[in-house]
Amino acid sequence: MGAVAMNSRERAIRAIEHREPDRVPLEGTAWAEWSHPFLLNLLERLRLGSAQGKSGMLGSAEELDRLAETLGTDFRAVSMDPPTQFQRRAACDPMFHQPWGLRVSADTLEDEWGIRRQLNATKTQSRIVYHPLQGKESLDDYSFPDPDTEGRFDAAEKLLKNWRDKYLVSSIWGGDSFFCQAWYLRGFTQTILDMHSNSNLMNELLDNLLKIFLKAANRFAEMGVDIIAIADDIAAQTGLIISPQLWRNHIKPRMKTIIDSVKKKGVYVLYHTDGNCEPIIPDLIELGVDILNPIQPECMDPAKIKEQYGEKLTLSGTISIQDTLPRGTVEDVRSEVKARIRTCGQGGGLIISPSNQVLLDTKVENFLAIYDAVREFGRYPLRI
Amino acid sequence: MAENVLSQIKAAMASLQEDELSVLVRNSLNTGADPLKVIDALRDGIWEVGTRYEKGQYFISELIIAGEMMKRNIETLKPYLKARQVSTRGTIVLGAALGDLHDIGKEIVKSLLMAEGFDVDDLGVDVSPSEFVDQVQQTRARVLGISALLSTSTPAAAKVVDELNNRDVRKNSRVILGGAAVRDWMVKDYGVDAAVNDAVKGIRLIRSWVQ
Repeated sequence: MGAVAMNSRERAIRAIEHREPDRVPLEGTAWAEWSHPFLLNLLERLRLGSAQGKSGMLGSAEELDRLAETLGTDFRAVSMDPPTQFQRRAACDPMFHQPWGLRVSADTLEDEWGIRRQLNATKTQSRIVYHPLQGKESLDDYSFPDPDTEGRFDAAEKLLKNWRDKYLVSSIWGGDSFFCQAWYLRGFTQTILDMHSNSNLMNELLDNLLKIFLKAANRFAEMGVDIIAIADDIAAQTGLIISPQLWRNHIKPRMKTIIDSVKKKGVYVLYHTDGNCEPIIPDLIELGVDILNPIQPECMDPAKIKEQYGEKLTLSGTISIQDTLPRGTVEDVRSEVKARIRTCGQGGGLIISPSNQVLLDTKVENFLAIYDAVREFGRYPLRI
Repeated sequence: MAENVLSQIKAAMASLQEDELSVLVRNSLNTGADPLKVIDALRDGIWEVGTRYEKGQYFISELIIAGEMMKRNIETLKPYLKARQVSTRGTIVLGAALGDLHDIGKEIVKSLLMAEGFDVDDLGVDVSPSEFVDQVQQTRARVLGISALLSTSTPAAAKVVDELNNRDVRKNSRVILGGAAVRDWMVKDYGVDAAVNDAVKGIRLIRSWVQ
């Protein structure tokens, strides 16, 4: 006899608590990263109209709810928006990594941190072209955003009310975390050099980020959000970008402050980094991280992560976006999903989705095959 | 004595002792060391950094720090090199493939290549096949490096190779494709000479090609 059918919320909680739910939970519309051009293809194929709003990266918008319903994903996400005053003056273009921004030129937006991003010629990606703290010797002239300004949490509160009984709701504070936000502001090389020399400016910058992130995370936890997501790309394909030592000196203690604070309020913590972050996984567990995302199978072997850390960590993502989705067949996708359920699904602790942004070279059939295969093979008790 | 200082310079670079390295380089010049030998010691130190990276003792941050230390110390050495011709290992044309705006990997490779003594002609990001080939023809570069982080941008390498063939200059340059979504099979399918997803592996290959 199979497990009693559960709603999304019950299913997700059981999986994160390492108890087997009725089936492996599905993600892809909450903390998953979206490539907007693929999203438009998908919506058209599913006849769901077009996404008008802030779908962008990491954080679903209201208009994506129908897509989430169609795919059967078990999670939803809310985010901290720019304040009302800024939104009134700003454009919102989901092709940008950070969709809200003041129009500097036809293809360039400046976000509320003063970071400028420019679209490429085909309007499929944006890149940072101006780091407001690059070359600065002090932070005296720079004003950091204030999470307490009006309008930041209005959409989040409304969405949370609609979703909380049925789904598990995660939150993101409107962008990336310590390492990424520091280098978006300061420049990539300079941020690493500052961390290496333990400069006062870098410590002051990271302390300012901590104040903002901590306020936002506590606000979300008090609001009733279930998962606080910390997204910080600190790893590349074959290993860490910043050494474990730099991460432990500069980022880990600040993450601890946030995690200790929100855990007291009973939320789960999700950590996202692209790439291979194996050297710091024990540190993440020590900090109290519950869910690790996206576990790109080309970078880290999900079965090995499950074997080593599966009792304490829930694996989220795990389906190849570099090889199987763009270059495989529907059958290849189904095989990968089956393999993942077999090797990582025992005892719960597995949430399946693409393991990063699905790009335009992925056929919609392959993407949808993930969701069909989980529904077909992911029922507990597993017989696979 | 001089040999001792050079080995200390190598060791300070390898262990990323920024302040100590600056002092050693300045002292070596004050005591009459050959600046070209100092450069060689710095390069030996960088080579050791690459080895430690390959062994998993160092990470990308250390490659970046070492590259910056090299740049700063070369600046210190410049006034002493005026009368001397510093030989370069040749020109490398580098850029991110059409459709790709990611430049972190490319910047790391560029910094390491410069530290190794190559002249790097960096075309930036979102570079079209004809821009790549124009530059290869103009500079007579011995190596063309194409960076591609995303699966959507790797096929652009095949177009670059086609363009090199169309202009009959393929045989003059080696082509290396690097980035996260790069796979071994691309060597055959795209017609490049090498496909790697690790910066240090790429540098080692390039160095072996132009020795």
